[in-house]
Amino acid sequence: MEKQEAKHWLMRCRKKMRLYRLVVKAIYGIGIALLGSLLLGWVYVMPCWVTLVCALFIGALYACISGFEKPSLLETAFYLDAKFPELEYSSSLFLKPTSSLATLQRIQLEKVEERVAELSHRPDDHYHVLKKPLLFLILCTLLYTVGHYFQKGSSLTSAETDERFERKPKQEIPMPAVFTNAELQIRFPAYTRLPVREQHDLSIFALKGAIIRLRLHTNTPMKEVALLFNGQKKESMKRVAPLVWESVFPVKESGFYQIQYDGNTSNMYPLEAIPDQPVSITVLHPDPHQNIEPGYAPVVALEAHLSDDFGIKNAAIMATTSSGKGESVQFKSREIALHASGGEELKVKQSLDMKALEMKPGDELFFYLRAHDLAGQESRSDIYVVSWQDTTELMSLSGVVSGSDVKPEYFRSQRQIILDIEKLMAESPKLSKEEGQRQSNNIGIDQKLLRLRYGQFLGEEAEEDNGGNHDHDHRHNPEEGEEEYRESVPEDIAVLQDQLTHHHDRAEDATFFTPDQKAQLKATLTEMWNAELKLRTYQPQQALPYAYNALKLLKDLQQQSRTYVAKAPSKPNPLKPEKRLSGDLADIVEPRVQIERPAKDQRALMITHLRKTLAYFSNLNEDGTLDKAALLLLTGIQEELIRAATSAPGKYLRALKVAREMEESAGVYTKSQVRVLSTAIQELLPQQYDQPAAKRKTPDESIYHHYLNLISRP
Amino acid sequence: MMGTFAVILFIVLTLVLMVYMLIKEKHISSRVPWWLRGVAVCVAAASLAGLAFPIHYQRAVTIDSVPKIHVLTRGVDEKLVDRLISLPDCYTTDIVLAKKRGIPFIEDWSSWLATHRNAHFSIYGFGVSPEQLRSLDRNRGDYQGAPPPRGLVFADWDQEINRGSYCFLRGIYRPVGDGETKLYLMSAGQPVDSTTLQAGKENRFELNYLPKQEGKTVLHIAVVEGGDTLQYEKVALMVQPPRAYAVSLLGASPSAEYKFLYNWLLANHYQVSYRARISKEKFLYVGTGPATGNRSSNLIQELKSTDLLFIDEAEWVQLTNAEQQGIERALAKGMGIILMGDEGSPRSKLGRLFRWKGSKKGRQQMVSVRFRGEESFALDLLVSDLVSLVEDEQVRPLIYADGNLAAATRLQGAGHITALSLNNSYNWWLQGKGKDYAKFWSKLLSLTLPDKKEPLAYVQSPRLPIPYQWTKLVLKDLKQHTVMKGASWRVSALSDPWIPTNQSFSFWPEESGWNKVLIEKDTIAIYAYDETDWRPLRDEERMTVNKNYFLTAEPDSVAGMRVIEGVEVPKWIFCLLFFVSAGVLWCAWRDYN
Repeated sequence: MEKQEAKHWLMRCRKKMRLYRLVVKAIYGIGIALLGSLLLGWVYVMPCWVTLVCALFIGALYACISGFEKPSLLETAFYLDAKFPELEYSSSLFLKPTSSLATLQRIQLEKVEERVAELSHRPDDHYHVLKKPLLFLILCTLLYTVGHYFQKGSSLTSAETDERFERKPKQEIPMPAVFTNAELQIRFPAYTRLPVREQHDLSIFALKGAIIRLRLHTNTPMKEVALLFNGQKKESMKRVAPLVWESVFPVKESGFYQIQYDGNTSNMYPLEAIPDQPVSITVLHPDPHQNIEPGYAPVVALEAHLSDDFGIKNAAIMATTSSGKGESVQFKSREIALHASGGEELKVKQSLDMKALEMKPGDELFFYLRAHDLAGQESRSDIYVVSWQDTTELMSLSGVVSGSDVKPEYFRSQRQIILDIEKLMAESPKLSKEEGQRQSNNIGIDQKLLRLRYGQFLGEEAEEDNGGNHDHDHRHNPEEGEEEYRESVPEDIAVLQDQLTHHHDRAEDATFFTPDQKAQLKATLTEMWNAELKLRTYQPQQALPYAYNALKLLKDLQQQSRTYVAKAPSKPNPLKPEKRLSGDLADIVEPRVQIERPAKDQRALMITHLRKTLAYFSNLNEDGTLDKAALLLLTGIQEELIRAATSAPGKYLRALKVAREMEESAGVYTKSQVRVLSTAIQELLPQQYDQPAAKRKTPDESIYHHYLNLISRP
Repeated sequence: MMGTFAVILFIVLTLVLMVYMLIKEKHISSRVPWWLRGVAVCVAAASLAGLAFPIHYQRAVTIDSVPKIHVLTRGVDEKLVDRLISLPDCYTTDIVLAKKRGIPFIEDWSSWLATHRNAHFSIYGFGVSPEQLRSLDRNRGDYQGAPPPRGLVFADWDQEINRGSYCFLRGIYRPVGDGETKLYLMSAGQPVDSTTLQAGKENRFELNYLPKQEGKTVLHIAVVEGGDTLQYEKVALMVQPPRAYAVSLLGASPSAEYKFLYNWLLANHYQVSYRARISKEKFLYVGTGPATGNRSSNLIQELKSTDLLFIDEAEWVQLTNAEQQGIERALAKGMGIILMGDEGSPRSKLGRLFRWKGSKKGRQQMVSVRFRGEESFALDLLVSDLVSLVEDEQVRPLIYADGNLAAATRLQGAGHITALSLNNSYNWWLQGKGKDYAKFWSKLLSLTLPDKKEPLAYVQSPRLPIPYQWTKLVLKDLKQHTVMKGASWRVSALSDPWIPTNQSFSFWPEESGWNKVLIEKDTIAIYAYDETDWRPLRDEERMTVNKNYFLTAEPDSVAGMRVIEGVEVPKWIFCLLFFVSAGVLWCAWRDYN
């Protein structure tokens, strides 16, 4: 082999060396990048690409620092000399000009040149330099994988879960140290079509009715692990593996839970049951009370908007028509189904043809919308009334002739309502709570219909204009009752006019009823309204007295047109003439009622306790330690905080935890803890009412008293 | 204390030395006469005392020209500082100004003042403290003012209230910026009342809150402009538990009004007794207290412990003379009476204390009930007949119903008597407006109940004390000389020279927050604010005090004036006298030996 070729071989070797060096640096760079990425991931939660860019930057920085210099030919020669003994440490001779070589060097060069050809055909074993870097890379990759797994495990995000239940707790509550991992699976009710959510955090925010599967991994074997709900109800967990415990429970109500294990109790974790909202119904058209005047088409345009958080199962228009008058009134009910395909919204645009409902002029239509959501919850709209005016009534002279056809209608219906209430009360022990409430509400609706009908008596007669024409502005002569007038002269002229003027343009006054009848009818409506209120609030027993009062008043109204004749002579008690006008009151007993002053109940004491605690905490501005009195206050309010946290864990659980932490740390507190606790107490305390308080005697006033006392002395 | 002891010890030792030397000189024989030696001993001792202690005398001097000294305090205008800084006699009490602008700082006010005894002081900025001000001559100074402080420059509230009473906070805000400002009253970090202030002008405001707390508490007031909190101040408040009163109700017949009132008072833990006439001299008795009989003596006895009496006019006319006199006696001693009028009023002696306008009959109607002074707040009440009163100079109007006076009160003896023409307030209960009912009767009862005499009545100054600042308490009606105890100190009272039962105490609160002060067996809680709290308010107060302190405005006006000034006897005289007397004694001693 010529010297030139040997030099080329040397250069080729240099290229390979450079390549391998670059690869080694890249491998180290990647390894460092992975480690850097892992460390950054622990410190700051950032998107993956940001972490990657940062890591590459770290790797590149390493490469830059370690250098990219090209190995020189001489360096390559030394390397080859060390690698191949056959070169006898003479490869550097290839680089020197032949003319500058001594004789011995030339001989050596020739000797070595022959070996170069053989060496150049040897298989490449430079890759050995990659062993260490690759090992480093593997180690880094392993570290990254394991570390990243733990990072991922600590995050709660689950992209598949519905956003509505993605309520992260304000502060993550750590697991007890003995538990290495917690797997919490929330299975939502099927109708929600929400995917199963998995999390490692023990705070539960789930839809009411969801099923929770909690699996806890321990680091030591345990005898018993149980869940303690709201500090009262205990439920044991099942051992599914030597170090794994499991429990499955439904979400019924809000509260909190703790994990009990081998005599220890963990932190409190919130368990918030988010209720499924019933269907919201908004009727845009028609108005609550609408008249269809003669000459107009008997069609009602109904426009409504229904919405639900998961879906509407079915919806319908519940229409009731009333026809006839007085005793012969008839009601017909029918259900007009609306097309609900399970969607979350439903827009209703429908025309109600009164002829199609077999109605005729003079009849009335009462309707409301009813809808069920996918959970089976029922919602109802308000009742809407549509009156179809009867043209024949306009031509009728019956009102003009009789003048006072005030016999009330439909009193039988009121009696029917009473019978219905009594029936409901008799059956209520057998009925479920929901069914009882539903029936009570239905009777309430009937009561409302009846009340609306009777309400017309107080305003609609004037519109018929059958009361004759007379001057609307006439005034009473004030001289007629001069004495009375003088006694009560109002200062305001408007009030004076109001007292002495009929207001025929006021619907309430424009009737043929006498004032007494009007007052009685008003009272009847009030009783009906009260009965309806109680029925709508599911208190049928309390509605019954009002319903009876309404019936009694209606009967009185009915009887007013009749003459009462006593059936038989009365039998009064025999008079004792000797006692008459004697002024003897000896037999009249003076009733005495001795009442104990109500003792302060536990609730009142607790509220006082809360008040004092709130006042105490309002004085704490910096971190510090509570004194003994404050610790006693803190212990005292915990019962109330537990009660509050049970009903609203999201609101009060943190405060309860803070109270316990402060108690456990012998009163050591931080400013933020005080703020959490104060806010919770402030919200817990009921609204304060005014209370009488005597005016304080100020010192400025007492000086006058003092002076008065001094000059009064003899 | 140690200083005083040392002075006394020194004087005693000097006297002992003098007496010893006199005796000694008496017993020795010398050519120098005894009287001369005795005088020398006395002069030497007196000179020694004169050297040790400063001795002053007064003399009248005529002021020819007065050096003017400029004292810059915090808040002084920067432009003014630029102008004054070049003057030779310019000093400052503000350490920031001293460091920033290199103006000489007054570290010790009294010693600095001693070196500028006859000067005229011109004070710039928010002024010096009242204690510093008192050490200045009113005739030798003037106050030059400063740009007015910005922020909450005034605030006033009752520092002690009863539970169930509103805390009203009234104040003045001088705007800091140009934007719209909101004020929040906060309890436990939550806003409980707020108001919006107009931009660019000084605003008066009122915030109120019915505290949920009981005991020593601190509310806060926050000034927010846009997203910035400009000021955040503490509002210390003592909420006292409510006091239960003894109330009697006397009715001519059982009525719904009394029945509801009885229940409401009972729910508030009052001691209530209710007597309604059911026939001639026959009564229905309901009560929480001991059972009372129907005899007049029992009623009269009961009235002695009654704080408030409800009585209707119809019942008054049926009472016996003894009972009427008993009620009048109790009224004169301070018992409150609420007289329930009707359409027949006036028909009793008490009723005739008021002028009634007669009843206005009509159908049931809603009337708007308003308390005087609270025109913006009305309670709607359903009434049928409305009897009204007439306003005159002898009564204080309390309540108006649709513009007609429905309740008024007047002082009769030491007690208040309130006439009320509304007799169906229970309609509020029936309408589910229990809060309105409570508000109505609480207010009316509060205005009629006898004044609550505090166990310790005191005036505190300043209103917002700070730690290590003189705070003065003037206590009223103290029967004997008292000692006040703090956490680590005791202070004796100083009696007022004119009213001996008024005693004052001066002390320092030792820490910010609530400080307990024990006087006899009672405790007073005083809240000490931090020095940074309510800064604009303090500055405004200090400006007013400084402004009102000086009598003259300019130094030229005092030129030629003769004033009395204190002069210290120079020490060299005592030194000379001492050496002369010592020399005489030495000569006498040499002659002797």
